[in-house]
Amino acid sequence: MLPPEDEAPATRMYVLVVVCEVLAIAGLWLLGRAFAV
Amino acid sequence: MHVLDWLVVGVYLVWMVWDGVRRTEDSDKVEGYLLANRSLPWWAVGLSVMATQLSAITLVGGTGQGYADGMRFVQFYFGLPIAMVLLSVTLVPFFYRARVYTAYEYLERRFDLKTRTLASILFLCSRGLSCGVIIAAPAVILSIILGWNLTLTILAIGLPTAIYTMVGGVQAVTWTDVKQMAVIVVGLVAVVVALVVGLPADVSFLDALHVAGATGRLKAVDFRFDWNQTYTFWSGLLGGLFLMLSYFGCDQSQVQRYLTARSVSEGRDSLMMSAFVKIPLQALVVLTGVLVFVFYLFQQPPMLFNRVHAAKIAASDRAADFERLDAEFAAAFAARRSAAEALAGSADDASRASAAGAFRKTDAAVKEVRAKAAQLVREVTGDDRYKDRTGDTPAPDVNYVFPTFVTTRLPPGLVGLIIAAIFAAAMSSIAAELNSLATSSVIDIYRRLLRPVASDAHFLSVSKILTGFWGLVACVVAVYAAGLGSLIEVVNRFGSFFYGSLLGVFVLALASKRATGTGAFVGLLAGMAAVAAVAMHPTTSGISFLWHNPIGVIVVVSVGSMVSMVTQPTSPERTA
Repeated sequence: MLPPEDEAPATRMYVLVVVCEVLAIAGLWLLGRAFAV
Repeated sequence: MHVLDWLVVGVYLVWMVWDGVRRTEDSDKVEGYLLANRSLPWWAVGLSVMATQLSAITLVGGTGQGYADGMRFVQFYFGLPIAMVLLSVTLVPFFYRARVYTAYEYLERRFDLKTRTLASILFLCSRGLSCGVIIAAPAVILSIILGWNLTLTILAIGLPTAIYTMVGGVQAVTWTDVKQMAVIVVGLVAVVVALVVGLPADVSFLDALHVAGATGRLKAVDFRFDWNQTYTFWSGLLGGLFLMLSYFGCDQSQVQRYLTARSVSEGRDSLMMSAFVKIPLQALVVLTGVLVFVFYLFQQPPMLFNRVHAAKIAASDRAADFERLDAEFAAAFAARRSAAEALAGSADDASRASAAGAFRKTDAAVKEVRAKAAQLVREVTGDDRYKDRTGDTPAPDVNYVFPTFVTTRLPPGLVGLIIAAIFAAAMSSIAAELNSLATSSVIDIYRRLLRPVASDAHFLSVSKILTGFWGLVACVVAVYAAGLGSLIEVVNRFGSFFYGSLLGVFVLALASKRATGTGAFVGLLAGMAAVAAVAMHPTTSGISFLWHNPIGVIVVVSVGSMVSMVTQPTSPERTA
């Protein structure tokens, strides 16, 4: 793979992707809950 | 269509062709023509990746799904961000280090020629046909909605795309994709603004969301586990993960996008763009459809969105039945509009709950009339697809909802912009496919099997000729596919037969040091056979196609590993 110094920023990016996905799904779930009648 | 709309569509088409054909500066060598000398910035490649994935059917069908069934369609993309991370860690660096032109080239280096050739032939057959479908599907819809000649519509989409892709190669594809993505996003935002402005004066945006919520259309996440459902959290996250891994990792139409990036790091960043943006963008597409539904609660929609069927019934001996149903529909709509107004005007939770109950009853009545109309279509036209429903709408009508709304309810100028956006969505996908079909034909078949030794100029000429050839094939397939609705489904199914299996071969290549070429080849055939059996057997045919991909992977890896134990590698240096 790449040298370690190139991997660190990429790893941070991957963690950020997962965090954003969890937030996006939570947001969509909340949208459904908030406007359910 | 208004003269202003013709002008907008015309300017868009001329702009794309002009922008594409001028991208010839680095295209005088094969690597420049097919891979832009691996020199493109991550953001352009990232937009190209997204534009390639977002076809006209995704745009028109996604909004239609939002209208008919609500936001749960967005779950289809839940596996995408994880797939992008996994590909960035595994396949992307492998492809870059191997300096390959195609994903299948790597399979020969790792396994053998027969595995590479089978994979590339599967890609060429599947994508060659699907390229025609990508042109045909929006062309059929636009020709019906706007009364255009079908063949001319197909040519209006296919020819400009083939011309600029043939002349400018991958640079033309990427830089037009960037503009096409902008046209699509601007068009979508404009529609959302028009929809919000178009709500009745006493209905706010939040009221509109409450009304949509009362029908369950804002319920985007469904945690139930059901093998037969495509749009659930688990199908999207797990089944969708495998589909996206296959699509972005093993399909040359996507692999070629990120092979043009300046470096491994920029290639990965281009995939990260999709990882961050795809779910919000798709949510916007589906939400647009939900807002179209809310709009049509206050403005009467047509009972059948596909005008051809309505016209056929009106001209048949069942015209009186149709007229009676139409009157019934108008009455049901009026009752629902009153109930929707009462729901939108509810001040507190208690009155809202009571108004929602009344509204749902009237909504069910509208749904019932539509079901009767669908039955009438089946009886008069024999179109059996009208037995299926998506939410409250006959399934084949779903793709006509958004274009109907655009052409009948939006002001001149904006109609042209949205039609240009539908063209952009189709053309961006077609261009990437023509470019990748030509690349795989030249690199995996022509140069590898037919003419290994020739000058760079010769391969460049062949690449251009094959781009034009595939453009021609796509247009011819489109003309035939347009007349045969079921062919579109057949082509889509054909792709799902080998997608997961192809991913299985790459998993075998990366994960197993002992895997042999014969193991991979037999595994690929076994995987496709297993998926075909699952898709066609009566007891398993109901399983959502999203699960075909993990099934393919598991069978290929299992069978490939077993066969590898009793066979020898082609040569010692080819083990990983």
